[in-house]
Amino acid sequence: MKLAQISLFALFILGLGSCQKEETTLDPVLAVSVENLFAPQEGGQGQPVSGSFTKFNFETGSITTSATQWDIAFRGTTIIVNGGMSLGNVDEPERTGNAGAYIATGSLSEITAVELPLIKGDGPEDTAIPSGSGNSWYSYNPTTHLITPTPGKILVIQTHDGRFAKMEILSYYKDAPEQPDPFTTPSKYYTFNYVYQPNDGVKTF
Amino acid sequence: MTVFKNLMFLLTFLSLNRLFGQSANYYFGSLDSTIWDLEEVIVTATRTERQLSALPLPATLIGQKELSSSTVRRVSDILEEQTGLIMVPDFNGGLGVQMQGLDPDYTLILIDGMPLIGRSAGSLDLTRLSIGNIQQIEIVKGASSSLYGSDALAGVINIITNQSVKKYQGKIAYQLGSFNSHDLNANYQQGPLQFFANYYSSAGYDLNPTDEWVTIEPFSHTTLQSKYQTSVGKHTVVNLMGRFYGQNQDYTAPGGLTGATHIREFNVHTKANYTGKSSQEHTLEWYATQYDAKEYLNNTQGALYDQQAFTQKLIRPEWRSNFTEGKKSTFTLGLGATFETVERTDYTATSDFNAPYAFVQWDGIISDKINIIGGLRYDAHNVYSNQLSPKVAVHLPLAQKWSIKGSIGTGYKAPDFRQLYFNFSNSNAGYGVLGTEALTQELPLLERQGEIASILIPYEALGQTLDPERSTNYNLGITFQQSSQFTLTVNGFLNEIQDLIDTRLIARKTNGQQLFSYYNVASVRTLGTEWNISYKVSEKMAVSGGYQWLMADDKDALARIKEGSIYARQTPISSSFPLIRNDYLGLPNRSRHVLTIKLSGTLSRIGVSWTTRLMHRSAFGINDDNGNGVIDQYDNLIKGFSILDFSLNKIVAQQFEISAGIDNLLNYRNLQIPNYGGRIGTLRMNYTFLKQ
Repeated sequence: MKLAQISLFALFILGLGSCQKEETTLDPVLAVSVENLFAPQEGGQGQPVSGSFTKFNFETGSITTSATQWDIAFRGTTIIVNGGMSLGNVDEPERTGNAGAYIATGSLSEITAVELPLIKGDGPEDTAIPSGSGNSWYSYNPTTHLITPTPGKILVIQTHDGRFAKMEILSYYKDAPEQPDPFTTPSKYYTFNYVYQPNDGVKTF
Repeated sequence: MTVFKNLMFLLTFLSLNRLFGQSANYYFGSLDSTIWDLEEVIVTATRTERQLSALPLPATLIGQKELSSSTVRRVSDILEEQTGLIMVPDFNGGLGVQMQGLDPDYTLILIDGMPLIGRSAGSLDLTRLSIGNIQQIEIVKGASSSLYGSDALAGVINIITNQSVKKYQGKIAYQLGSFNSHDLNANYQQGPLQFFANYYSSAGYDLNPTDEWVTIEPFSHTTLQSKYQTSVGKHTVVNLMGRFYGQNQDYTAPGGLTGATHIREFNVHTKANYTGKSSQEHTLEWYATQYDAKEYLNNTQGALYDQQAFTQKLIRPEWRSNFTEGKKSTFTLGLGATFETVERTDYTATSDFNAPYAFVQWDGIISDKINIIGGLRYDAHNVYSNQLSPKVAVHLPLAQKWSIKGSIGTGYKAPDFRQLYFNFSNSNAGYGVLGTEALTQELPLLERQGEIASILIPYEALGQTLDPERSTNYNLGITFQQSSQFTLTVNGFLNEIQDLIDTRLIARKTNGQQLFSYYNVASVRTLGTEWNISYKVSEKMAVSGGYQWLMADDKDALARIKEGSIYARQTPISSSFPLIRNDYLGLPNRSRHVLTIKLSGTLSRIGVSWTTRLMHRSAFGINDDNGNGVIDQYDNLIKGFSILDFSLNKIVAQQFEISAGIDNLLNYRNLQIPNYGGRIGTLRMNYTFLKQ
């Protein structure tokens, strides 16, 4: 996994952030690109799904094995948050934090504020980021057999310690190829952009 | 003169000559041979014989001359040459017809006026039909449920098989083509009995040899048909028809799986026609048909891996009466019923469909020149709601060479057996589909067994009764005709379709599988214009052309684009941005522009006639590659392409004819359009046995 440095885009956001706030003590928001976060799973395609989740921390921008310091976790197309209750899936990590999420429609830059009432933790009916094709962050095309992140679906996330991030998933295939081959391109490799607001209580980006 | 003679036979067959025999009639045409020689007659539009040119509805005929000189052998191929008809591949490798921008599910296909069945996935495969015994193909565009009931939303295609041929004893033809294809065709007439046989086989082709699938597997089709005609008393003609169609095709799948698909179809059609007085005609028909499709796959050890079966049966009695008054109007009354059953792997217990119906139509002249047709049909049904389908059409001649025609009609399509009784689960892709009737039985069962994790739609919306899909169709056209030398017709059409049935996610199972069911959710608009022009350059050359401009949009997608909630990406890893109206390309497999040009002529010195034909389709999308739910210009589109055909025909001796052709001369191939296998060469010989 590669962690990109703060981009021009981030500086732009940073600029906006610092202009809006009178206080100069606020930390700058982080804009990060993550490539090839690998989220393997066992089973699937009709068999029981198992395998450990790949946990991710927005503050550090990297995957983690910590039992508590994680915000969201990936396994195949399933994304869970470190908050709410378990749906009883095999090999789920215990939720220890206060994380939640919802899906907003827009481009990453258009989503400028968190709508707090929409934030919810996992369970009991479904995960905060719903599972399944077409009603969440991706769609599965039965003709091409490809999983494509739905353009304009932004995951707005409350982290395990109550801060906020917004993320856009770009690809589910290794190295985010222009035209993945459904049978030969390795899948379950997430490429995504996110913006992290490190300041406690700030609900804008 | 062949057209004239054929028309005369058609007339004799239908015993309608009394209707026309009295005096020249403005809109029905007359027995005056000079008019009949020029005028084509269509029966599908009104269920009475009508002159094509004076008909207030958009319609096309493919006549005997075009059928017999063509080097193509299947109905799908000859329909593709017509303006505004696009062949669309279905999941099983068959070809259905897209008309006025509507999917193949919405065009009713008739054989001698009675419906063909076997729409296991919605579309009816037109490669099933050989053109070897077809007299005429009639195409009526626009909703026609006022006469035909369910399925006639986009229009009706009626395939009229050979009527009594008195000119010759028999005909035999053999055609050899690329992909090792053979077409053997025989027609024979003995007194009142007629026989037809066709055998067509091909080795198929594979557009992508690197994968484990074969694009078109080797196949063979067999058609047998027999007709018998006799008079009972002075006024009644009785016709009997029996038809068999068989299709065998190899079936292989990745992992060394091998098997076959078999289709068997039977049709029996009897018809009694009574013309007691010159002003009355009564017809009683009884039609029964059965369609069986079976497929299986064996594994490498030869043990059964998978099998599927589909059996559909339909019986339809129908009574029709025509009352003609003063040569100025015809009143038609019809009564009938359809009894239908389907059995299929993955269906829960089905109930039979019983659908009685009645229709009336008035077709007449007012103010001496304006032709008005008004029709109304009522369809009752034991499972879905009853339907009333009206239609009005007007033909107004302006000056001598100009005329205007317009029509407004409604169409509907009843939910099919699949949408009600399907109980299917694909564990590989992790989803299941339940028809609405199956849902009411299966879902409580699954819930009791603790298999349902969550139900995602309101409880009262579960197991809702499906309504028929409905449409309103508008056509407005203008015709300019200068003798037989030059004709121009332009028709604009608009179809507003509502309550389209689509699948919706209804529940999630504890094993992560998703459950879908059917709902009346979508609405669609198709808007277009169709242009046809024909010009006889000289005695030795003619040119004709057609063009269709089409917009076929999902109205929900349009609304969502307007509110800015559908996004796309320039490249897969760039940020999303909202789509604008011009980015949206509408429904899948629709080209904005389709152009056809045909040139034909004769080289009289060497006795050869030639035809060349070009078809061009502009770019279109098939898949929503970027996952935003719509086809837009950021998906991987199929680029515009052209198909060019060329053929030569020579009469070697009076009874012997030889033709050669090259189809798809430009060798167009595309993995995503399996119906074009590449350049095809054909050689055909035709021998006619004259009467002793």
